[in-house]
Amino acid sequence: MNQMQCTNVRELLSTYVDSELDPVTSLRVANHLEGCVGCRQEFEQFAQLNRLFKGAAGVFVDIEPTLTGRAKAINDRVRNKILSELAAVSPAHDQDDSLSEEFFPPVIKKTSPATAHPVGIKRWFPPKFLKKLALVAATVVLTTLLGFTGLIYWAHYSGTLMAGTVRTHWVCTQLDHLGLYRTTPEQTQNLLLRYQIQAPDLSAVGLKFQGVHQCKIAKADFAHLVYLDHANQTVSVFYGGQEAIVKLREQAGTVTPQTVFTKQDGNMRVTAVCTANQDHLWMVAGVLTPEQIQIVTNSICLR
Amino acid sequence: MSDAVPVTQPADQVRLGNFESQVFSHTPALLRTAVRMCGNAAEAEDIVQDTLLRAWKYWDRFEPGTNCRAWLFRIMINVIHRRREGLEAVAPHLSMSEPEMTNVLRFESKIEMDENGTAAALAKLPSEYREVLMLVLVEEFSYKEASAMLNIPMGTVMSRLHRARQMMMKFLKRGASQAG
Ligand SMILES: [Zn+2]
Ligand SMILES: [Zn+2]
Repeated sequence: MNQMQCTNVRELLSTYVDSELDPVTSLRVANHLEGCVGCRQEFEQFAQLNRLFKGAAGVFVDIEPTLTGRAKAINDRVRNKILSELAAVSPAHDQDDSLSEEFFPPVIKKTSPATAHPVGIKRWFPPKFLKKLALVAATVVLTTLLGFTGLIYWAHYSGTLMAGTVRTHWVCTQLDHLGLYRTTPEQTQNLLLRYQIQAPDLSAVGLKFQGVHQCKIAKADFAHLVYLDHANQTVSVFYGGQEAIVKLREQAGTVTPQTVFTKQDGNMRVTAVCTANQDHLWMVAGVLTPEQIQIVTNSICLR
Repeated sequence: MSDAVPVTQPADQVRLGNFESQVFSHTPALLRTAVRMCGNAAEAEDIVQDTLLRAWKYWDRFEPGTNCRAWLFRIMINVIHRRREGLEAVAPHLSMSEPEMTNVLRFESKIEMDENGTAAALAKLPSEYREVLMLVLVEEFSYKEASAMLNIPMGTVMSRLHRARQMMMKFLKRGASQAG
């Protein structure tokens, strides 16, 4: 085997340290290092330099402690920005949520006797029901961050009432995960007073009341009551006054207290039901079984 | 009671969830490298944020199953290079035959490497040397990956690394002798 010159070896040492030399050359360098103190010393320096670049001990000693926290903050900002962008393209898509098709489908499909529903609940399966759900998010995030006073959030939304309800539900759930929309008990109390309502007791279906804030859906004001189920999943109950009823009437034609409007996509369901004298509208959105939805709407209507 | 309707989720929600689960865990590594590359914490955060937003924009082009970390670093290098181009003329290229540097090859019997001086030494390197050190020594990308990210030939990766190491040792040695 040719004896390698020191100058050649030193040219290769950097690559050797990184294990990027081909096996034959690598072996020749190793052989040279066996017998050459000078080159071995340089190799050791290179190896030591490599160690300095690993972990917190060396080159990152100053930034490592705060790295995780700062990275998380960046991730949160990026998530918010993405939600904003998605919301910015929302209006055009909202026009697709044509009510005549989605609210009153010509055929009510029944999949099996087990899923047939008792009185009043209409079910159907719109294919694009939850599409572009995220689109409203930004508006919420932006208004939250920019125009945020107290703990009131306004979800501006230009689509239909039912689709808007699901969107708003999802957006507010995201905000909750970010720790942004939690209200104090006092703020909750004030808002309930302003709307002159009490939070419905939904413990029969395992839902625990968390708090309330204000949201806009289809340009109508709603009180957004937030509940959590046993698995900490959010279920939204929206309460709206005359303005909201008008919205529903615009989209659904005849509105009677006997009619419960329900849309679903997989496990996700949204339901609208108005009070007996037709001056208040309640809407429920979340991952609920048809049975749960029925219990919830019954307990709301009976109030 | 089974529900016969398949569970579908809104496309954007799925896409965002997918993105978050694959991308967000790499943010600390991106930030670490960005801080060392630009030397300014605030700008580094800006660079990483910009990188993630670009990654989101091109998320459809990311091939599932391929190396997401490498893909993200490639985007970040692009972000950094673009910013750099807008800022100043590139640092003067030092040639490999520069006599000063060959002296590094002749070490004294023992050189103390000052750990605390490593960051300072790194900061003195021209950016194109600093970035290749970060990618290979810290992030442990292969020469091939680094070459793709930096859009330079493998041979250039090798020579830059070699030079970068020599310079680092020189700076570290100087720092240590000043300190002692
Ligand atoms: Zn030798
Ligand atoms: Zn809300």
